[in-house]
Amino acid sequence: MDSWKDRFAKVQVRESELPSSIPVQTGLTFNIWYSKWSQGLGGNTRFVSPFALQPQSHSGKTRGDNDGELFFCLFFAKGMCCLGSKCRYLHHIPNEDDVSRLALRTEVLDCFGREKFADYREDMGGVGSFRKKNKTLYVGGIDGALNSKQLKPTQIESRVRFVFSRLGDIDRIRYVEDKSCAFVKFKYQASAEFAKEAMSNQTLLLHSDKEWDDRKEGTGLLVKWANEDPDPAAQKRLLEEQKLESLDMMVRLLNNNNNNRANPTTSNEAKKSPGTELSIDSSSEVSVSNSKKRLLPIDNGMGDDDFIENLKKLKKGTTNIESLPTKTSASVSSGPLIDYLSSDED
Amino acid sequence: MNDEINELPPNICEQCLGDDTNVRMTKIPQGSECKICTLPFTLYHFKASKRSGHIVKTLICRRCATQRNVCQCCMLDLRWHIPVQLRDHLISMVNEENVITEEAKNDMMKRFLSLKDVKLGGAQITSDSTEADVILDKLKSILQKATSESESPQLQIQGAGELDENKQDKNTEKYRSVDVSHILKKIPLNESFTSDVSSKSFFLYNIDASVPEWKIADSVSQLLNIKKWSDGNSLSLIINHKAKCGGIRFQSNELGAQFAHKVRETITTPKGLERGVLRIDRSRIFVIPWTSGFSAASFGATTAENIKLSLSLNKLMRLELGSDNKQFRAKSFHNAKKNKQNTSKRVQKAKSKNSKPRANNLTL
Repeated sequence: MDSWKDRFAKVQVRESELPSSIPVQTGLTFNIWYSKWSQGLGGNTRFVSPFALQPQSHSGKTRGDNDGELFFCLFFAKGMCCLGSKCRYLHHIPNEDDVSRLALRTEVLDCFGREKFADYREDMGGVGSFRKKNKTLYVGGIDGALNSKQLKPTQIESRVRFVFSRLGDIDRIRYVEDKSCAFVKFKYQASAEFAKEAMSNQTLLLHSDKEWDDRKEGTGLLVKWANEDPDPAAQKRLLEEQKLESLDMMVRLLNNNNNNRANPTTSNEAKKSPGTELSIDSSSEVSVSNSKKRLLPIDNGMGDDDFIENLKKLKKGTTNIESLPTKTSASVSSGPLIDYLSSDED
Repeated sequence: MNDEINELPPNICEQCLGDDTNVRMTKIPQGSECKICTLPFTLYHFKASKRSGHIVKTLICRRCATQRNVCQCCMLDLRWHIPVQLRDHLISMVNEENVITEEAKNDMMKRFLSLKDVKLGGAQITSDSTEADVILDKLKSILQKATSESESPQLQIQGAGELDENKQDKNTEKYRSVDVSHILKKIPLNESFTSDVSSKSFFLYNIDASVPEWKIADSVSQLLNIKKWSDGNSLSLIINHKAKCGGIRFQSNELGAQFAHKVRETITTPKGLERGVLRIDRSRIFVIPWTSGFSAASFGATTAENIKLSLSLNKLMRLELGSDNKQFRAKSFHNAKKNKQNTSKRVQKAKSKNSKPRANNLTL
């Protein structure tokens, strides 16, 4: 099997074949703001998506890869991106590198670049919360996704395992046969976000099933965020995991701190940076980063991609230094910010 | 709501502002609703660099940001650039007190809380540079102690084991009536693991519930020098964490043989059977070739069967390893130590993992 990096992304659906953006009529008037029908019974909004992501064959390079795009294409995840390699978002399954690149933004944005919320939706669907690092998905509606085909619990479990393990590194999968739902835990939160969109409203039927042709009669999977596992053993595991994570962070923080102390002159320089806020801050940071950088004209520092790359790398190492000036100057000084704000207010 | 707080510059960290020396920002008074307190606030948005396609927006109001000492855009701690929860956890571990940033549940409380002039949770410490330095010094001493003290992890492991046994006794009572003989019959417990077996599938047991599947997959693919993603389905793994066992299937017999060859460490049971040993973190996973293959049903169809299977396997393991559990633990610890010396790059990781139980003592 060749990797996605060696080929260009496929057009998943031709533009002419895309469905109308107006949903099937279920009410009397159409609300163009919410793009929903109102004044009616509402009808059943659950359906089986006619498109599905084929992780192996669909993924490939896009324009986003050239531009250093961070986020994934939501339509690709749903199997219905009509742009293919011309898409400005990424068209592949999130892997370790992507997760580390996303790490900076992942606290408030999901892997598609959508903003998260403070609280979960009542039904635990949607983008999710920035308060909790949730890597576990609840998979419901399994009966509807199988068009009520009778299968043994273990068969259902292996089908769930098959479809989800293609979308990211699995931590564990548990199928609860009395409730006919499954819990899928991923290694990374980004994988869970991606899998949630990719598997929502999909069928669990296979080509070999005789029900395959009628798959659209079913209702599709219901993939939501999972609540915390009430099992005491699982909670204990979670605590352990958190402890490990904080210990990891301790080591990283200390390393950062050591770097900080190793070059006290630079941090002093940063501290002293007068109140002219952002412009001075970042220029002093350039001088902090590396003496080599001084050779480059600071003002068009963005002219060179390598330069930016280097800066970013250095930045990661010296985060502690940089946190100092922003905090002090941003909270104490008040005047100078208006200088550049007034210029482009419209 | 046009009070002076909205006229102050936003709290945005360097990471969000990007590398450019000049940032063009747009200010929109009362432009958005704060995600934390639901009150309107002055929205700023900008591009981190002129070329980037993404507009970075402030998501929370300045008041909420200062209360938590976080950046208004990425909501990471301004000093350490880590998530709020992780920061609180870290501080409560170091200070041995419970520090949490409490969030209001209903809208009225959210607004009320945001108008108060307080620092919440760990922000009390990270907003003050001297206190943060004190914490870092404490951290350092803790970590140094953790690395020098190598006895305590072992004690901790034993303690955990005893607890498990207590629970097991309870479980044995509960699942006495469950019959798993038909499952055990299909598991190749009488096979022997040798380096020249030819089998696609292998049975794995003694898998601790805390070991995730990806760790096993990672270590196997590392052993065989294959990449999981680019290789597609060169191996498939089913782990049943309730049954504490699982199976691994390779694409071809050759890969299976290679795997058997690469697993160097084996143990011999009193019956003279060989078991391969796969080391992951602190636990040992035993490997037996499984020529007949397996499916998800091989580990029991119901939860009761899963648990009963894990109990039976536990009993078996005790027989296989001899009843002297303590000796086994001491041995395994000794081996782990050896491993640590051997690996060079992994040392750092192993250290932090070994020091985990120490931190246990700290908080509990």
